[in-house]
Amino acid sequence: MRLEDTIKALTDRVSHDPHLAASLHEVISTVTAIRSTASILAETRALEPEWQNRFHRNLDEDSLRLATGAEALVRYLEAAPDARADIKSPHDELHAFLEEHGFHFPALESTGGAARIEALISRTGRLETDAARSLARDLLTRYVRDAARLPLSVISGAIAVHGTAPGAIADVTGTDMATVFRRLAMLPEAVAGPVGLVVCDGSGTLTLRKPVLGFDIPRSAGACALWPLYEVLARPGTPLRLRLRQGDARVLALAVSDTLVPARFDRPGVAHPYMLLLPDPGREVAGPAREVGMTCQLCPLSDCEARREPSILESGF
Amino acid sequence: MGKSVLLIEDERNIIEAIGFILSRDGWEVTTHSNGRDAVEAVRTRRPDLVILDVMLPDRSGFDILKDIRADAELAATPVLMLTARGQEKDREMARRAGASRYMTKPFSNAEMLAAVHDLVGS
Repeated sequence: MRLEDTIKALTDRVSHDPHLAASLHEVISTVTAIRSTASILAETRALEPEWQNRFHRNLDEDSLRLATGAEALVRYLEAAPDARADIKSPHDELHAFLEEHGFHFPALESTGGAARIEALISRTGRLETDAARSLARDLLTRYVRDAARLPLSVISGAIAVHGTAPGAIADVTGTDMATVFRRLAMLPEAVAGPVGLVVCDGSGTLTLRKPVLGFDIPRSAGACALWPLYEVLARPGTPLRLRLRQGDARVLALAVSDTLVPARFDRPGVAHPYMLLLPDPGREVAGPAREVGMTCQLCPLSDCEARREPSILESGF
Repeated sequence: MGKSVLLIEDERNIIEAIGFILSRDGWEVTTHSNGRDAVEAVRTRRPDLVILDVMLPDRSGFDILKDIRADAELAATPVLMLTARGQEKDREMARRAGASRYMTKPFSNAEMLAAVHDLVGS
């Protein structure tokens, strides 16, 4: 593995592993104090003995902290269950492709977009497997259909009047909510502002994830059962709108269910829950926030009735 | 005449070191080390510059920054955010919350001095 890949893998890992992030934070804080203190000692001419003593004592303290912290970090990195860090699924490839394009495809906005799909797929280096290319083909085909139903000029006009309120946009354009959600999430940020989206299937498996505003979405593991996404999975007829707090991140979540195939007596229906993520309008506008996590293994919330496995955060360091 | 800076940070030895270099540089330095009443401290002290750590006890630096930006009387105060995480996600959150500048730990004393001079023109 090249150094660049190693760093990329570690960076990914830090953003999905609060435990690792916390211990790195401890080490980096200590290094910061040491670096600044050492420079003062080395560079300040005629430093008063009182200051000199104090900074020497601080250095001594911090170097001990650094040694302990670094040792714990190495122990954790060696023991942590992360052998799969660089194995990518077709969905990971699809998402690397979408991120490469910022989830927006100007070439597919105008008429005749369908004819340009294959060019997009063959030009990228992110779609390495047939499975991933097939996923991308399906997604882009739906993108073209969505863009025809709700053209850029129409949705931009609706946003200018109603803001990014999906209900109002659906009403004035006569479009279903899921289409509005997909369009909002795949517009340039200059048009719609920051918009995130999570889509899952009937098993709860995440099929589309566009994180935004610091709200983390797990890459492979099951997500947090407290997300309203899963409530609309259970009650498809009841759209939900509420504020979510996940660590430092605050977002407004809107969840609806998109019915692909209605249920009949002889076959189950197929529905996909959608959860749109928008900037937090505050408590006064949208009520109290629900505290949620990302995935149990990496969740600091204690006392959670929905927890399905212990957090590695509790395993001690 | 010295400019004033309020350093909101919870690591004692970082406070001492940064406090020292800023004082020597002619700043009038005050410090505050918890998140809970940090906004109150900004309101009382009215510094020319705030240096704000992202990870504080009791309250996140992002929330504190949002409150500063939402307060008409404090909104124009330049805020230099410090974080130990250089991830894109944090940079994005700091930018959206209205940070004037974002600095990743560890930094050198020279970088710190250059940043504060940049934010508060001498």
